[in-house]
Order: sequence, then C-alpha cells, then structure tokens
Amino acid sequence: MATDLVRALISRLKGRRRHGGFGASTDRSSPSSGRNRIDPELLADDSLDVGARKAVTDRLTLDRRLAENLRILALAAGPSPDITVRHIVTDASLYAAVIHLQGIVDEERVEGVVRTLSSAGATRAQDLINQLGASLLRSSHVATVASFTQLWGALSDGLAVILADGHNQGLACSAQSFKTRPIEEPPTDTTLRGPRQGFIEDLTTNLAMLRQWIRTPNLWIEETNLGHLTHTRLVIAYIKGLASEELLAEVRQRIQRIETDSVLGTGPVEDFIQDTHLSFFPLILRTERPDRVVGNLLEGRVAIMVQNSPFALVAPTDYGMLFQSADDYYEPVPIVFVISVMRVVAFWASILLPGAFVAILTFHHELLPTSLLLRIVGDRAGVPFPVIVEVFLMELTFELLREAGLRLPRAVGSAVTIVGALVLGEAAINAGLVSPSVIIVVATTAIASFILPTFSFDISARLLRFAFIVAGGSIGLFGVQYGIIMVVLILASRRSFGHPYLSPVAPFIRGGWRDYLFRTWHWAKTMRPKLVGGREPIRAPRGQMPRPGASPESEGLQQMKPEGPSDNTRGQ
Amino acid sequence: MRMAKTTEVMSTRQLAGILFMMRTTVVISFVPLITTGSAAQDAWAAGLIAGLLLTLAAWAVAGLAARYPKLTVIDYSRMLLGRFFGTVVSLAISWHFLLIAATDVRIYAELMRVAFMPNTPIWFTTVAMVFLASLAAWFGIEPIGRAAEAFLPFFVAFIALTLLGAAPSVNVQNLQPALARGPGPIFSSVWTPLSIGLQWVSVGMLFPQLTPEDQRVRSAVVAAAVSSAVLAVVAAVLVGVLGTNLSSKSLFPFLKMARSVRPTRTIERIEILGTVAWGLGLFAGGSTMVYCGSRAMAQILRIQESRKVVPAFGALVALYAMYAYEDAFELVGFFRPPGFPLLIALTAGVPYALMWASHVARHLVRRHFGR
Repeated sequence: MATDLVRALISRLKGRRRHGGFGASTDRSSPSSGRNRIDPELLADDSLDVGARKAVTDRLTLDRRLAENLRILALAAGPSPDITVRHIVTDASLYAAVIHLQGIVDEERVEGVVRTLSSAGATRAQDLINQLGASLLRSSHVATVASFTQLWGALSDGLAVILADGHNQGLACSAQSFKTRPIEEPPTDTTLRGPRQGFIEDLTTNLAMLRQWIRTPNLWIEETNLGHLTHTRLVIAYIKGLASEELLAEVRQRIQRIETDSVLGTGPVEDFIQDTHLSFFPLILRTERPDRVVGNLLEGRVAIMVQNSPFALVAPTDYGMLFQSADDYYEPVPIVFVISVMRVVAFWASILLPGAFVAILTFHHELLPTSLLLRIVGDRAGVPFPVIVEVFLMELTFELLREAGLRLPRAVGSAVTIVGALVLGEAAINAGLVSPSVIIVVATTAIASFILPTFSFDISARLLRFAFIVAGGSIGLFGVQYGIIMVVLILASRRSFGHPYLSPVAPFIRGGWRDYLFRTWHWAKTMRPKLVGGREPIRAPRGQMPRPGASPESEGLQQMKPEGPSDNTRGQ
Repeated sequence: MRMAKTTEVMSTRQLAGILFMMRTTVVISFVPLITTGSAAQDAWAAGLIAGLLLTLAAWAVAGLAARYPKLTVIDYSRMLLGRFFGTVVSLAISWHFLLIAATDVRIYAELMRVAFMPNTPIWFTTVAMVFLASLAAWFGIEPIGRAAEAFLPFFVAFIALTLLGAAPSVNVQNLQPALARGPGPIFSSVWTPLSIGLQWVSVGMLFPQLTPEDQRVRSAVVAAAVSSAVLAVVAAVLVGVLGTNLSSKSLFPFLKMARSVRPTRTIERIEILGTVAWGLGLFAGGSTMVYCGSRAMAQILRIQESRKVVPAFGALVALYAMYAYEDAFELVGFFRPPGFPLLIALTAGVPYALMWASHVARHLVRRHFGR
C-alpha cells in the first residue's frame, strides 16, 4: 500500500517542475503544508528508492509534537552522527530542541541560542517561537520553517533550528561557520602585479569578493538550486542595465533546463549550457580570478558560479578572451602588445609546427633553404623511423611527461618532467632513435603551448597538434592547410550564447578591437564591446589621454614665487 | 512560387571578400595564360578592360537583385520570365554554380598535382576539397562568410608578398612596347576573364541575406572593380617576370613566376604563399558555390531545407570535377575563347538580359497602366 501511495505521489510530482527557477529555490516559506499530510512512517520502508524517499520528504510538514518532529528527522536523515539535537526545558517549562549539523555551525553561537531559549519566559510554544524570532535571538537572520524540506535546507545551510513542543513551525537562525580554505592566488592564473586573490569553494565568500570589487547595487545576483540530490547552489551575477536582457533570459533558460541529480562544480553546468557539445575549443571562459570576472561583468557579460567550485564561468566568450591574461591589465600596453602577439603566434605554432615540419620534410624538401635542408637531412641519417613516426612518438612522450608532472605531487612532478625530458631527449638522440631537429621542434612546440594563459585552450591545441601531424605526414602541406581551413570554419560556425565566437574578427566589428587580442590603454577604452555591451556602449569619456604638464623647472619657479596667495588660500 | 526561407544573414563586407577571393583565385590560376596569347605584353590592359566590363555586369546582376530584395534569382526569374522559361533559367543558374565549383576544385587539384603532390591522385584532392566546401555549405552561409572574412587578410597578404617577392625580377622590357599592336588583340583577350565573372551570379542567390541593405549593390560592384585591378597587376608582374612567351606557355603562370624568383639567400622559395592563398580562395569560392547551388536546387525542387540538398550537390560537384576534364590542358582549353565566353553569354548573359527586359517592361506597364 505504501508503495502505491509513493507511486501516486511520484506521478503527481512528475507533472510539475523539478525546481522553482531563479529566486524561487531559496524561498522556503511556502511548503506543501496546505496539502494532505503524509505518513512519515513510509520512510521506514527500506525498499523505497531515493526518488520515492524524496517524494515523501517533500510532502512532510512539521507536527505540533516535538517528539514526532524528531522522529521525522530520524526517519528522513537516518542515524547520522553529525545531527545534533539539544533538548531544553525552558524557564516556563516548555519542551524545545535546538538542532544543527556539526562542523558547519559556530558552537558558541549555538550555545547562545540555547541560553536564550532556556531563559525565555513564554508559556505557549507559538509565543515562544514568535518572541524568539522577533526580539530575543541575537541573530542576523531568522526564518520560520514549516516543512521537513525547509528544516533540512536550513540545517544544510548551517543554521540552527529551534523546535518547540506544541507548535508546528520552527525557527531557523544563523549560526554558520563553514570551514573554508583561505583566499589565495589561484594556481591556474597567476599574476605578477595583479591582486593575489582567487575564488575559493565557498560561494558566499566568492560573492563577497565580487561585492568588494563592484560596489554598485546594480550588481545583481540570482540564485537557484540544481541537482535534486545535491541541491547545489548556483548563482548568476551580472550588472543590471548593462547585461542585455536577451542574454540573461538565455542564460536563465539554459540553467533552468538542467535536470540532474547532482551538480559537482562548474564543469557539469558548462556541459549543460554551452552552445554545442562537440567543440574542441572552450565556448565558456573558466576563471578563478575575481578581477577577470569583474572585468567581464563590466563589459556586459554574465558570470555563473557554483557552490564548492573555485571556478566561475563567464558567458558569452569569444576566441580573443582566451588569449588574455590577468597581467595584461597591470602591465604597460606596449609590452602587453608584444606579449599578446607572441601568444597568438605561439598558439598557432603549437598546433601547426610539428605538422608543418613533418609535411615539409616528407613531401616538400624544396621549400627549405638548401643549407638548412642538408643540415637536417644529415642529422637524420641513421634514424630508423619516418619523420611522422619520430615526431608523433616524441610528442606523445612529451604529453605523457606533462600528464605525469601534473598528477604527481608538485615537488616531485616538476623534477620528473625536467629529468624525464632531458634524459629521454638526450638518450633518444644518442641512441639514434630521433634526430636533434625533431627534439627542437617538439621542445619549441611545448614552450609555445606553455605561453597560453587559458588551460582549456591549451588542451585543444594539444589535441589538434596530433591531427595536424597525421595530416602533414599523409598529404603534406595540403593536409596542413586543409586542417587550418577546417579549424577556422568550425570556429566560425561556433557561437557562445548566441554571440559569434570569432567576433570581432569575423564578423568584423570595427569598435570591438580595442580590448580584444591586443590590449589598449585604459584611457582609450571608451566603448564597451559592441555585441555584449551594446546596451550601454559608452564606458568613459574620450580625451583622457595623459598630457605632459609644464616642465618641472617652470613648475618650481611658480611655486617659489613669494607674491600672491596660493590656490588653497585664495578663498579665505 | 516558393520563397527562399532562411534566417541566415551575411554582411556585405563578407560578400565582397568572398567575391574578391573567388575571382582572384581563378584569375591568377590561368591568367595571363588564356589572355596573353593574343594580348601578349598588354595582358594587363585586357585585365583592366575586362574589369571595367565586369563591374558593369556586377551592377546589372546586383541591380536586378536590388529590385527584388526579398527574392532570390530563382524566385524572380520565374516571376519575370514565366514558369517554364524561369525554370529553365533557374536550372542554368544552378548549373553555373556547379560548373564554377567543380572547375575551381579541379584547377586546384591540378595545381597540387603539378606543383606539390605529383603522386596524389586527382580524385583525392578533388573529393577532399569538395567535402570541405560541402561541410561549409552545410554549416550555412554565416560561417562561410565569417571564415572568408578571417582568411581575407592572409589571402591578400600572401598574394601581395608573392608579387613583392617577384617585383625585383620584373623586366620592364617584357611589357614594352605597350599597346603597340593596337586595341584588337587586347579586346579579343577580354572575354575569358570577363566570362569568369559568372561568379557574380551568386549575388542573385545571396542578396536577400545581405546586410546592411543599402550597401548590397555597392559591395558587389566594388569587389568586381578591386579584383579586376588585382588581375591587371598580376598580369603585368607575370609578363614582366616571365616574358610573353613563357607566360603564355606555362600551365600555371603564377606558380611558375613564384618559383622562378629567389628573393633572398635564406628565403629561396615563395610559391607556398601563393598556393596557400589559392587554397583559401578556393575554399571561399567553392563553399559559396555549393551553398548557392544547393539553395537553388532546393528552391527548384521545392525542398524546404536546402541543407538536405548539400550532400547531393557536393557529390555532383565532385563527379563533375573529376570527369568533365581529362587533364589540366583540357581545363585550359575549356576557358579559351570563343567557346567559354559564348557559353556564358548564352547561359547567363542572355537570361539576365531577358530578365532585365522583362523587369523594365513590367515597370513601364505598371507606370502607364497602373497595374
């Protein structure tokens, strides 16, 4: 019979939305209290699967009897040792309990709650809860809970919940004390002159960081919960009035479409919401740096952040953003320009160099200057493999070393990589298995790939490199060119949240180049990118280019003049 | 009548870039081989005159399209010429797209065989390039336009670098005496490069998708003028470097020129630049032609989704490219006057003239009789 009831419940639940969407998920004030109450004893049935258990717990409302509520808690959450229940008899002889989860609350604050509750003088349970909520509790946040879902949500958020015998509502009060790691410089995106600040796994802290950077109330943050088992908090952050409403609607719609049991970080979210699942290149920017997120928000983009992940997603993203590093905005522009050019060249070199080398040595010797060709051919004498095999093996070996270096402990990893590269390279040359020119090409390719600031972009280049080696070794430079056209065509066909991935290159947008691949001066950034910031295109007034003042000598002479009042004293 | 249904848009700048790359690619492959035979040292003049006439032809094609801005040439050909003749013209236009795509691909395949990959069979290069063009057409005109826009600076740079690399080797005496043989040989050399301008028929297919609307005709005309200017420069440099005799006998004169120069001791060969540019231009042109051809066929066959036609049209292009020509010499022979210019005049020139006449007649009737 119980199973039939649960099946009926599930079928009813399937008919409605799984989650309430942005803004609705955090509002726990309208439980299913108006509906018929379900027997919590159903939860004692071990044959219930998790979906059925959820269906039941979603329908459970709090009882007037404290013992019954504690029984509901025990049935729903099981013998979990981290659930702490403190039974209290108040000064007015009312029975009550303070419940919290260990490890995520501040024990001293809970003790304070217990003390306040013990000394409360209300004689009726309802009055007790009302008085505590209205005035007695020294807590920044209190909320009424009326259902088991609300009760458990509050406990998971690190709140302490007060239940009183004789009233079917409890009171949740803030007592959070999450243990998080300190704010540190993100290892994936370091900077020399920028702030040493990276996101951490605590969403609240991350949002606070954003608030410190952008202090306008127009920084809006919308929250929802994803994953019907994990209830992971997800927020989208944007600047109201700057981010286009169409973009926001698209982001909201894509997130609300997600129906899954769990969201473990930003990776799954990215999988769900990006424009296509078949993309070698990242269509959404991932970053650990608040300043990068803030910079993008100020251009009209949207950030998506998830509890338990130090990465933020930024949308829409374009190809040029992936070449940008945080340091670009803290170093002099001419230097950054040169470095940016190097990055672009390095990216394409890291993809094309081995393939082009194989193609030229295999099919197009005539393209090399004679002296260079003779040198390379001389070095290759005695190498038993064709060039394509030689390069492929060395690239593969290098990738293995790189992966080994990543997975090993940091202290050992770098040593393994360096020693492995040196020893293997030297040994391979001495053994006559590879030629020095191949080592040079592979090493140059590797160094070029390290220049890229975005790791996910680098992975794409690494994979494509092998495809280009095969193409170059099979059909020469025709294959390399074919591959380039294919890659650019695919890039041109991609969109990130509706925005062309290759813009402002293609489609060419005249005003979009000022802060694209190559950074410009801050005073010259008078306009926002047209596609994302077109709602409020003007960023700053023109004409702020620094102008030299009067020469120091004349300045000094002016100051030394004794006659006449100074500017500061003129009005006195 | 079935209207062209698509939500894709393309900028006029992208169209101009595609037309420029498309024409420059085909033109530099054989010109001045097919013009210097009679124009000799005045091939550049033939290029300029052909450019002038092409600019007028481009205006005629784009101008007619501008009269029916929401329709493709397939739509208004039936409207202007009636159902039967309109369908005949539509089929001819579809065949033009097939012809251009297949010939471009075959030229490139022959170039690869002659220049770089003598052992690679023609069918492999042909099928590979047609696959790429079909894939692009399947993605749609927006990615084609964007990719072409991304390639355009490299295309221009590679052609310019090749010409700059060859410039020190130009022997001005090869271009002299200018216009010594009178205008006759020059005018007789105009028709083939002009007929290659058949590529502008694609404007009639793409016109409804172009934006901004006020620049649509201008972009087509400017592309014709600029690409013709490039043709004249290429012809002058080619003849200047190779001389009239060699440039009229080489199969791929541009490649021959690039190979005959050695700019510096460390940079001995520069033909790869021109070849890469060639490939980029072929991609832009081929994919646009496959896209236009597929859309045209879809409209004629009343197929709602033109993407479904792309594989079939791509297969036709590949077959045509492989079997229509025996070898590169037959390909060159195909372009020689008077056969090729006459063919284009009959299958494109006459239909456009008829459509213009019909349009003017309808306009006059509407003006005088109010209907």
